[in-house]
Amino acid sequence: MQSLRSRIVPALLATWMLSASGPNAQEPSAEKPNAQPERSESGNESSPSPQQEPRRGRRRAGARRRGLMVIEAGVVPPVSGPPIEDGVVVIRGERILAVGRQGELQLPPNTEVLQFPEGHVYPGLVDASTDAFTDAGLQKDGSLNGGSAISEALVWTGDRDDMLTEHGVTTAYINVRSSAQLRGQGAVVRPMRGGFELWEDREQAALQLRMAVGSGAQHPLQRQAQLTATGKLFDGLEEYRDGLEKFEKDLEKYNEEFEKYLDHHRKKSGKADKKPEEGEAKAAEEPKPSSESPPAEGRRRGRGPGGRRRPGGGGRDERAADPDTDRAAMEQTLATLLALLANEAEDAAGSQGSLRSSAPVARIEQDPAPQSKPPQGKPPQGKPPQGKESKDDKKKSDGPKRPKYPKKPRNDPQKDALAKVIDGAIPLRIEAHRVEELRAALRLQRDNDVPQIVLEQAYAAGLVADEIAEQGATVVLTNVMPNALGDAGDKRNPFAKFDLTKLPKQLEDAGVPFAIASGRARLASVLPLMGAAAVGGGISAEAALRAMTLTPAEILGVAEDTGSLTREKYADVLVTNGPLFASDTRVLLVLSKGRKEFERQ
Amino acid sequence: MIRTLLTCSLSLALAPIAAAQQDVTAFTNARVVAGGKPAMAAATLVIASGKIVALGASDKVTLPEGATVVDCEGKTITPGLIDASFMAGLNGEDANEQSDEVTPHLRILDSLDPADPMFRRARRDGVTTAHVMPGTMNVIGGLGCVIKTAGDDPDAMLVKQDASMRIVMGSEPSMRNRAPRGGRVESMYYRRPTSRMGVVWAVRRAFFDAQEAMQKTRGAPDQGRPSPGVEVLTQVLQGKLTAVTTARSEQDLRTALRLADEFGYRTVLDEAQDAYMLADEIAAQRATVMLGAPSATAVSGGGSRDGASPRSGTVRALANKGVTFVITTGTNSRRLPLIREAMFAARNGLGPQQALDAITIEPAKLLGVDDRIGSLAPGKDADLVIWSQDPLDPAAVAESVYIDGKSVSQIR
Amino acid sequence: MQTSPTCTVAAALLAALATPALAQDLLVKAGRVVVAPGTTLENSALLVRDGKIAYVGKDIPAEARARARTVDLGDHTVSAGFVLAATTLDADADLGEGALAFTPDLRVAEAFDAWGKRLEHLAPHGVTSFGLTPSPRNVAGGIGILAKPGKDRGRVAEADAFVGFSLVRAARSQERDPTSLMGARAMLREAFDAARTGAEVGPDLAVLRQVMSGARRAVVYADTFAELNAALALGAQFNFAPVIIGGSEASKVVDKLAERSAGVVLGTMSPTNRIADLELPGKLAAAGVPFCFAGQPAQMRVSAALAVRHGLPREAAHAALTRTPATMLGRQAEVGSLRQGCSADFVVFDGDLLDLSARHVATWVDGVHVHGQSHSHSSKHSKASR
Repeated sequence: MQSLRSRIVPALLATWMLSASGPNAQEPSAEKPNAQPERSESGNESSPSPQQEPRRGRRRAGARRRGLMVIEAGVVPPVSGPPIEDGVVVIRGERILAVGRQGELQLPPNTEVLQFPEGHVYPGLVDASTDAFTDAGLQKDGSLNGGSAISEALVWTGDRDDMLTEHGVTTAYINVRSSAQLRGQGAVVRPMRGGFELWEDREQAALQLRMAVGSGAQHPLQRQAQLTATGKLFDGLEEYRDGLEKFEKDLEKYNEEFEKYLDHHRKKSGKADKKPEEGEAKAAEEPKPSSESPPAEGRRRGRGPGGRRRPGGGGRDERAADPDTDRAAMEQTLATLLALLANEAEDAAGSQGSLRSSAPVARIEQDPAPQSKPPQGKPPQGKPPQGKESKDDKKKSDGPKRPKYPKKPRNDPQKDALAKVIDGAIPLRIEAHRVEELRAALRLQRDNDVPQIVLEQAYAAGLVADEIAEQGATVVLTNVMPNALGDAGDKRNPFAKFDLTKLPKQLEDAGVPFAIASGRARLASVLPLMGAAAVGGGISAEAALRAMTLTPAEILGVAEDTGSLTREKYADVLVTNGPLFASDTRVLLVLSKGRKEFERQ
Repeated sequence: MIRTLLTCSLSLALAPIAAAQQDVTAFTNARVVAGGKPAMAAATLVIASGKIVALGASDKVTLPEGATVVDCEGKTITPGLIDASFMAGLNGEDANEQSDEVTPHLRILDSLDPADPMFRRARRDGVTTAHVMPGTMNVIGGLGCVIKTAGDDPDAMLVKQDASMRIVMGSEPSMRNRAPRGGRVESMYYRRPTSRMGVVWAVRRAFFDAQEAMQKTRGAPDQGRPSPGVEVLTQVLQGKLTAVTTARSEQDLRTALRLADEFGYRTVLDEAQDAYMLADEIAAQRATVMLGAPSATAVSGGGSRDGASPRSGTVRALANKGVTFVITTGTNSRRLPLIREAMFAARNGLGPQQALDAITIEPAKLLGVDDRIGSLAPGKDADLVIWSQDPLDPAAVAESVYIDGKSVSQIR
Repeated sequence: MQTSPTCTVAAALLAALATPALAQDLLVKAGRVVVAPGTTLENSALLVRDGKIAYVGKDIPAEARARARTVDLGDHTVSAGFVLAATTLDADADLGEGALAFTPDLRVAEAFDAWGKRLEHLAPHGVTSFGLTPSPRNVAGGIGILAKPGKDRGRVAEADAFVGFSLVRAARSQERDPTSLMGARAMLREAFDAARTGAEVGPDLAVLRQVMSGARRAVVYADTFAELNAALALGAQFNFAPVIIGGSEASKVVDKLAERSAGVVLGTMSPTNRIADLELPGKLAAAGVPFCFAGQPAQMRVSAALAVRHGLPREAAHAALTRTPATMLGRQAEVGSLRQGCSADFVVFDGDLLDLSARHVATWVDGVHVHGQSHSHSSKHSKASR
């Protein structure tokens, strides 16, 4: 049926071809050098490294040499527009160059053309919720918190659950269903045949919150109490951020005052200005604690030994040991130096006093040694150098006091993540099932001005669709299959009455954007059936397709690069031998960024 | 000399057929312990179509054309081991039919799952044939079978269907039973026997009934067939079927011998931890012993209640008295591989050849399957184990295991 | 009890109205009529008389066509109703004699509740007939029936359809004999032996005799490798081809099932099943082993769609819902297809029923509409899946 052969097109645009395979062809990879595949056994290594060392990849060379790839097929629904009969998709490197009707596009000669006369070409599917690349330990890890980054614990096991590409999934959002309330930050990945790569800047793509109450709470009031407790999620965030801000301000003030203090002593000591300068430079490059350190610590906590370290247990000491200690130690050395300088100046002033002053110097030299070790993050206070200094100040001058180093608030990765949510950097994804849970989620958004929330599962969303639409929330549906929640006649099952196949239609009517996702890696092969079931529930096939491609791409914030067959997007392409939603349709070819990830023999 | 000539001619005669079949394998330069006779230093073993076709000194055996040659320099080849008391991983329910204490006609074969991981473990340890018996919760549990340890169809794995009938002495058959209390019976376990006496009573009753039935049918052959249980017991009484009596302690062993004497059947004593105490009596009654794990120091199942006190010198005591015995893994809770049990026996006074025979040819004879397995000889099943060194060496590993000429386990 | 007297009277009246004697012929027109798996007539019709298919398509005489009441289903697809090969309708307690394990001559028909609540869950999912088996808790449970749901009440279509056996754990854990697989096998073997050799046999062994002579079908509950082996061995020894219910480890004995011409009634599948399970129907079909799905009525069509998604050809999947289970119960002349003479049991979908995008529109049993839209206008929802 599908002939797969090379075709020679008359040499009409040889020059164009030259330019296409010439420097221009490298353009995409030059733009996004990071996007090169990095296949490795473990997820940690596959996160894009900040430095771009030259890659030994034969793929890179191949991608450059390949130049153009053309796919012709009977039907091409690009999702971003109406379906194209006898369409053609032109791919250059890892991006789509053009999408159109066959014959409309002029092809350079010697172009490899993959022909699927009966086939359908879709954008690669975007699975907005899956547990692929996670191991059982992570899935059940109840100690996850808002600061945990799922991306750092991903593994490639190579079992069938991880084979997303062979079912056409080229982008996936990974989250886990642990029993924790805040379940870490999910990651957007690009699955591939031998592993996956993290989507740059989307390693921490959303914060996962579980609004669904546990099975223990049977009574509605009991459930309500739990939900109210969840509503206090953002409590204390304001204070935390104020604290951080205050610290930054204090730090600035401290630097200024310290500068003044130094100046005073420089003037006093006159000639000795080299060493204080050094100290000044150090003080200037002191890290800004709020901006850089939190992610680093979040990482450490998420991946700590065994991943089971209690927050605030051993970690606290480790944190305390970092910048504060350094700063304190440095300060002390500085103070000692200053004292020495002051003594020197005194000596210079009157050489006769040398006998008198030799005793204090000796004391100063002795004392700092034991003090420099256990400073516990506090600036030295009442210590001999300072004591002497202040005594000198009182006695000899009324210059500025030595400023006190401001108290640094404890870093809280979870609060940092919540702050990102409040700032709109990442959405808050809330798993909620019942009506009251969904309402609680919406209330949480209203009360705290959360810019973006995504509701997950949302079985009862049909009943509150209008409220969801009003607040501009989006929904990620899983289990979109007939009787997915049990037999409708089962009275004991509170969810059995929800027909999830009808849910897409209800959301569509209310104007709520929704994605249809597998929810579990094992269900990747069933994803098209879920789309079909949604069509059976009343939406159009186009809408169902959109719910598995462009809408999830938008929800994940990657719609600029994937989700439809559009010029300049990644060449994420799924070729099937029939309509995607027919049960017996088989995947023929899957391209991810223009690479063949799966091909049916 | 004559034998060598014979094997030569045999292999020559078989060569054309073998070449056509393409499944001839020759193991050369091996030390071969054929079973029942001393080891051969540098020998060649030829197998084809699942059977052994030739065995002889390497310079005497002509290799058939087209044979796959496996050089076994430095290795030892033994027959596939036979575990005469193999505990398949049957869950408790399926190994025992608990609705009755006396179920002589039930076949453990019916409950066997060929995919049982215990079989895989057995193959890895060089055990190619297993004698599986019903569990020990019944007084007369049923019929044991002899099967190969590789395959996915119990019928195809079968070597001998009804190889033995198990009788159990001691505390296990009565363990779960309760006497009715307050006249209420709420479970089928409210029944006899509840004691050692009751267990013996149940055996005696069963054989008594069988004798009665035999006499009746003799008088009136038209009475129809006796019930299947009675039929099996009759076979035991007539000496057509081996009775295996599982008994551990001295008193249970004596009871087992007494019952056999009383009804005139011969029995194999299974487990027999205390056999050293009454080696003379066993020898006198010409009973054979399936020694459950020579290394066992603690007896599982029933345990201390049966009061057995195992000794490592049991094997020597039995050998000295001329008692025929085989070594099994039995119910040893530590689950040593069979070859290690033989090693243990060899280190406690048994000759190396005798120790190996006790897990190859002797169990084959005991179970009546020595025409097919148990030793390496032309015409027998190609069940063999290639050991990394002398199998009685503690570091010996079963590198390759063959069942019916097919490799079933490879360790490299 | 469950229904008020008025309801009962009303139902009786309705039932009376629907009785064949008074009924006019019914002409069912549809865009596609799937007469049997693989045989589809475009723009065709069925003529229903007395609850049976009298004529199909071109064979319908013009005068009958003129006289009949017409139901126009537009461009919808009509297929034979689903046959649920084996179920106990959650009435195990009534379908298994607790004290005894061996009761092959008990009759399920005598425990059939025509007004049972569970019957209401069949037609909404397209099930138009079902095999009601004795409980799997009995080694030999009794004689199963072919029954049907109806508009108000179900009915027994065939009171003497097959004999049910069981080797699964449920049959061995009832505090009576047998407690082991070997005990269960011995029980059946002895009984069959006695039935074969005994001169005069009681009613229970007479049933087994009919199984051996091929006059009666045998269904056997078996799940594990050992149980499946046991069921097949029993069939081989006593010369019958069992229909196996359960077969969760059937993938291990596919070749043997084919060799012994045994069929398998698989449990209905859900998307969360292991891939190997989802692929099993395709493997069975490739090996030529007849199979079908039974379990949750609601999941029958989903199971077929999942199987198609994982490699099963459409035709085989459609057969697994209709013709194969009918054949397994020996009732292929009455149910499972829309051929002449079969019961007018059909389901109406607005597309191919194996695509989940198609919606179930209606169910008809014995020429009577029992669920969904009674007659359709041209469907306004067009399938735009391509």
